Parts: sequence; structure tokens; C-alpha cells
Amino acid sequence: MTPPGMAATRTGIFLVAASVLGVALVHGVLGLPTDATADGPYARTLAELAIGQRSLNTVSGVLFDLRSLDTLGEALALFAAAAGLQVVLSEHEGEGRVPTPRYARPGRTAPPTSDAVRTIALAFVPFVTALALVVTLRGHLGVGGGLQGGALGLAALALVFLGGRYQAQRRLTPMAALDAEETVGIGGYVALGLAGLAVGGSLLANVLPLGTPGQLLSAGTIGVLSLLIALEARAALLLIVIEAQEEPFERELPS
Amino acid sequence: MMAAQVIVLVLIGTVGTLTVLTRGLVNLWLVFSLYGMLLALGFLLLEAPDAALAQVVVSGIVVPLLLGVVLAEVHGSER
Amino acid sequence: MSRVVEVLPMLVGLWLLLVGMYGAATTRHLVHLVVCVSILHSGAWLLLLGVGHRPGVTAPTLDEDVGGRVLADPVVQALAVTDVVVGAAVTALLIALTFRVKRRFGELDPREVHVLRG
Repeated sequence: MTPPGMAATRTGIFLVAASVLGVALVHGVLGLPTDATADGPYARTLAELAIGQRSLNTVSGVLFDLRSLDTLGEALALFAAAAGLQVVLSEHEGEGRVPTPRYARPGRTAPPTSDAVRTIALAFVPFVTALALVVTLRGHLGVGGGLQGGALGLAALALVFLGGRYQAQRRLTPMAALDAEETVGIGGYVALGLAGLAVGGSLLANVLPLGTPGQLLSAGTIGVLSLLIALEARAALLLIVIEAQEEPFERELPS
Repeated sequence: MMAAQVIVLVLIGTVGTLTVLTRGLVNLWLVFSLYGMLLALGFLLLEAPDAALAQVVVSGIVVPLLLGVVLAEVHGSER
Repeated sequence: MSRVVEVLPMLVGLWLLLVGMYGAATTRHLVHLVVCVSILHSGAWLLLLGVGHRPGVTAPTLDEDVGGRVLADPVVQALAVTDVVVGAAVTALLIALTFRVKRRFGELDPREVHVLRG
């Protein structure tokens, strides 16, 4: 237990340091050039590039074409987070881990989910699933893209969980299928990137036919990469959530 | 800049401060979810609909779900 | 004054950064610490969007051509989208680390866990 005097000293040191940092940061922000990005040759170039890509949503154009290598890094970050969680939560010697989660232990009676919550949650599952598909596949046409679509795919399963159907949620997402989904997502992204290197001469080059702007099948690789990222994001986030749900937090008290 | 943007940005700052100052775990969960929603609204008003969509899904579903699982377990073990 | 209003998103982002640091420095519960780090992180998103936003810009979605509109900077928005999703993964990893602390030390107050005592 830290003595109270020491905690006060620490807070004081922090406040002094933070105010210095704050003054420096505010000074820096006020000194930023006012017309750097929004209305310059840079912005016009980006808009022209987006039209060239047939991607009406310029954000998707940046994510899945102009800076698609960064998105690959982002997918790898999600992949690493899911893998790292397994490592962090693996069992070590001397830690009393209860083999079954608390809520799955025999004799524990969970309060039943209220009818209203269950009905509404389960009724929304198909709509959220459909929304996830729409958001993923129309990323180059309007608001959306693979990252948001993948998170919405997780939201659909979260609704199953909120509806009190934990077993159903687990049956819908077998671990082997999630692993396969992650592999397809990341592997497909890299494979498409290498195909771009072979055909177009640069990694992740947009090699598919661009089509007409506004059509579902247009913008070349943007739609495909978006779909692959959606798979990867959904699988990685689901693995993370499942790992947390399974964690038996409570330690067995030594008796 | 629109008045709505100013109001929402000030609200974001206020609710963010409130979240940090909240100590009870259940209250923290509720205030933090409200903060995430306000942040999404702020993104929308800053003309970033894609970021707003990502933020709604992440802070409306994924993070509350994770924190909710933690809360259920912490409360169970501290009672 | 109008300059301050113009950079308000960035100022709010900086405020959130500092407030999150304050919360992390004075925290008494590891779950609270995770939330504070998450707030600190969200300051960066407002900072990013503030860089790409000027009065009068519109969302960076085109219909056929730009048509005289001024678009918000899509590059920083793409960064923000990426960071929001990574933020969820960061929060999840931090929560997993709190699980481990709880399992190992049976305690969630960083002042009581001797390896975390400052």
C-alpha cells in the first residue's frame, strides 16, 4: 500500500509534467498551417485518384488501394492481437484456473434473460447480418468497407449472446472455422497483393478490371480486398471476444 | 464551424472527463458507452461517416461486450 | 477566437489525451485504467480528424465527380477508421492482461499488486 503522502507527491509531479506537455501541444496545434490539406492540390489529386479507381468512397480508395499495404499491416495487428491473447491467457504453473467458466458450472442458476430483451435481440440478428454484408460489399460505393463490415458481423453474434443464447453463439462459431476464416482473410489478401506484383508490377496493384463507377462490380481489387479484410476482422475480433467470455476470472480460494 | 459541432465537441470533452473521474465499475461502464456514442456523433459532424460507422460498432457493441463480461466476473467474485 | 474554434477538434483531442493520462496516473482499479487508456487513445482520433477538417468541407464520398465541393481529407479519415478497429484489439489485450493480474495476484487495485506499485 502506497502511503497517502507519496500518492499526493506523485499526482503533483504528474500535474506539473502534464501542464508543460499540454502547453507545448496546444502551441503546436495553434501553429499548424490552416490550408494544408482540405483545399489544395493534394486534396484535388486525391479526388482525381479516387475517380480513376472508380471508388466513389475515397476513404475506401485510400484504405484498399492507395495505402492498401497499411491495411495489410492493420490486419496483421488484429491477427497478432488474437494470437497474443491466446498466449497471454494461457495457463501458467501455480495459477489456480477453474476449468469451466463460472456461468457454465453445474448448480449455478443464471437469472433468465427477459422476454423483451431476448425477442428484440434475436429479431435483429438477420437484419444486422444483412447490414454487415451490405456495408462490406458496398464499401467502394458509399459509407462502409471491410473493417466496419467485419465489426458488424461480430455485432450480429453479440446480439445472439445478449439474447441469452451463449451456447448457440458458440455453435455458430466453431474455433476451427474461425481459424480457417482468418487464414482465408490474411492469406487471400497477401495472395492478391502478390498477384498485383506479378501482373501490375507493384505489390497490391489494382489489377482487376475497373468497370463503371457506381456499379457493384467495379473498382477492381477494392471490393475483393474489402471482403477479405471483413473476414479477417470478424474472425480476429470473435476469437478475442470468445477468449474473454471463456475466461474463468474467479480464482478458486485455497481451502 | 457549425454550432452543433462545437456543442458535441464540448460534450465529448466533458463526458470524457466524467468517465475518468468515475470510480464505480457499473457507472464507469455506462458513462464510457455514452462517451463512445458521443464520439461517433462527433465523427459524423466532422464529416467522417466511415470513422463514425466504425466507432458506433466498436464502442456500441464490441467494447461494452468485453467490459460487460469483465464486470460480471468481477462482481461475482467480489460479492 | 475563430482560430480556436477552427482547431477545437484538435484541442478536445489534446484535452482527452491529458485527462486519460491523469486517470491512468491516479487509477485505483485496473479496469478503470483500461478505460482511461482507451480515452487517451481516442484523443488521437479527434486529432487526426481535426487535421483533415476545415469549415465547409463535405464527407469524402463522391457522386461521379467532385463538382466544386471541398472534400475532407480521406487519408486521415482512413487512418482514423483503422485506428478505431485497432483500438478495440488494444482494449481486448489490456483486459486480458488484467485477467492475468487477477489470476496471479487475486487483486485488481494496482496499489496492492507489488509488481505494479509505482
